[in-house]
Amino acid sequence: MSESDRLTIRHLKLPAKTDILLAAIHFSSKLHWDDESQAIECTILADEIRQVEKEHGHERTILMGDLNMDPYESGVISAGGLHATMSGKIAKEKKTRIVRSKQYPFFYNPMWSLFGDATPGPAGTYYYEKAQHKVQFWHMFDQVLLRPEMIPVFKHDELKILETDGSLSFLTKRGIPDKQRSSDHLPILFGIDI
Amino acid sequence: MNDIWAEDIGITTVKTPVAILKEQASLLGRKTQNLVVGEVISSSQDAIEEPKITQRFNIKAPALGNYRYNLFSISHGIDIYPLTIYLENSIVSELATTNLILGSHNPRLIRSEEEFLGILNRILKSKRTKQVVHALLAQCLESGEGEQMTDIYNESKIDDDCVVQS
Repeated sequence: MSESDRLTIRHLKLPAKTDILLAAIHFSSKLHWDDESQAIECTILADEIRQVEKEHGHERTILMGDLNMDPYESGVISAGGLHATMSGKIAKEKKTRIVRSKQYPFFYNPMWSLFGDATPGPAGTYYYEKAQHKVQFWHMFDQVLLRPEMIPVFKHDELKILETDGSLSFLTKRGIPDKQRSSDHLPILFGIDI
Repeated sequence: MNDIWAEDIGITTVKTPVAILKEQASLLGRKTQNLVVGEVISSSQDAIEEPKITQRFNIKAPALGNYRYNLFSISHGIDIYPLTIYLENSIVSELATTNLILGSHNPRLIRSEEEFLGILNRILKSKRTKQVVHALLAQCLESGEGEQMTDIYNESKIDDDCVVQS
């Protein structure tokens, strides 16, 4: 129903289930796009999602995919961008936020919860190492974002970064994504109960 | 009180990118009997560091549940130029291969109206654009929406006259 070469937004209607909007994105890589271009692309995406939501009269939306940006980057958190907060409570209670007289709906970004070593699994979904001063190593480029209406049906305890498909490991012996055998990104798994 | 404004302050010859895009969008509808139409969606982004106006140029099929395909987008500040155009990679590759644009930079900075018209001309003529429009037209016709349209469709294929005169 709405597509580009990097985005698809579908209206998912399952029998006896509440219909939802499912958006999948693959944003351009940081190798080719600078931060400002990525942020502007987020505003374009956010606009497109709001347009489709308006056409369908609801905001039961899930956005997922390879954002090629971390959850804390401007395009992901800013109001005019995806406006994705780390706190489900903030997203659910506030629903929207007004900045300079304009109202922006929130997304909840549960991927913040999987950063670092305090959770099972790898510290991120993408690993990048370079001989320079500022290196983060693990990034959380692969994300799922939920509108406040979808938070109650989101199964937080099922959200994980996958290291294996059950038989094939997605990691090298060093514990980083094995791009030869699988991909330079690790997949994420999440569940919803609609 | 003396009027110290320039005499021609109220006269402008600037054609905005959105006006150019809307013209082309409406031409597509005419060529396809509105089975497939162009759509320009404008928005302003004042919540990022530098305020920007963005325009998305979509190809839309009203009969297919308002399915739309975003062909490209532009963004610019208050000065309009330079503006930034965001193209899909297949169009960039196609135009680069055929030497219709120099290099494969994406997004691309456009410095003048003339340059904007030039690249728009090439985007709208591109194989990818025709492919998207033809695919949507075919599906509209198949869905029955365009039963009376077959002849018109054949006559109004998206061809080289669907371009901007630059």
